[in-house]
Amino acid sequence: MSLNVQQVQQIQQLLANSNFSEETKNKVLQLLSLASSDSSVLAQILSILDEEIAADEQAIQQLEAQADQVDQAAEEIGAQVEEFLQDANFRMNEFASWLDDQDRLQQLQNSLKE
Amino acid sequence: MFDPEVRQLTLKALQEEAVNIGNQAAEKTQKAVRQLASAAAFTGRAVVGGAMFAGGAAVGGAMFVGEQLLDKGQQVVKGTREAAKALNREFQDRVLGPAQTRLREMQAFAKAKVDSLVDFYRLDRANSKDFWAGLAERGVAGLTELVSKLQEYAANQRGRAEALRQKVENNRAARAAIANVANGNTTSS
Repeated sequence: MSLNVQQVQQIQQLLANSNFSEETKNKVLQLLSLASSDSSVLAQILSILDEEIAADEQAIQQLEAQADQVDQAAEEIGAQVEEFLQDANFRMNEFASWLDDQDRLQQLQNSLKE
Repeated sequence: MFDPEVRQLTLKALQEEAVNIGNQAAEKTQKAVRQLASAAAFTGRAVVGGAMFAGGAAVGGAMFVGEQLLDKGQQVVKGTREAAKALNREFQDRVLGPAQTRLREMQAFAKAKVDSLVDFYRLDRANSKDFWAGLAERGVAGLTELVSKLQEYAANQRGRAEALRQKVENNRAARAAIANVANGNTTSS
């Protein structure tokens, strides 16, 4: 199916208002110049548009997968840091308790000597 | 009744005897005095000497006690140092050692994690690999900052994905409109 002048203009307008890349737009515009004589042009145009949409969808999946994995890494490292801080705090408290015990023991020994 | 001549002779004899006795007594007394004086001198010297001896002993004793105190003080200082060392050892064994070991494990884990992300996703395009790895090596503060940077990075990627999703939705609509125009259907741009 070939396109008439009005259809070509409408498509040009739609293309200009779209978010397709300049590379895709240029390819489509070149094809549109042949649209009045070549019935396969429309299929080629839609294929080019589908190609960019598919590439973008793949990029979306990659970005989301990357974000998921980076988030997971952050969560795992953060959990280890949190666990480390809790363990360090526990050990500090244990050490403080041990010091108190040592002080009491020393006081007891001193009083026994007296 | 005595004969006066006999009586006179007796008195004279008595007087002579008295003188003798007196002389002897005086002599004995003088001897005794000399002896006493000598004894007193000895005693004096002994007292003075004793005092000197006692004084010397006291000084020596004080010096001995002082030396003992000094030695004791050094022992206390040494004991304090040893106690401090022992305390440090306890702190090392109970707190610092395990914490350092755990920290090294965490750093190795974080570094491997970041390295895998860098290699797989090329995170170093936006943030240098050295920067990310450096964060993992800078103790707890570095790890905490690393977590924050990773979360920030992930949020940025989600933002990019969302922007791309909107672009795709818009392009899908444009693609449908173009297809409609080509098929002769009415459309609005």
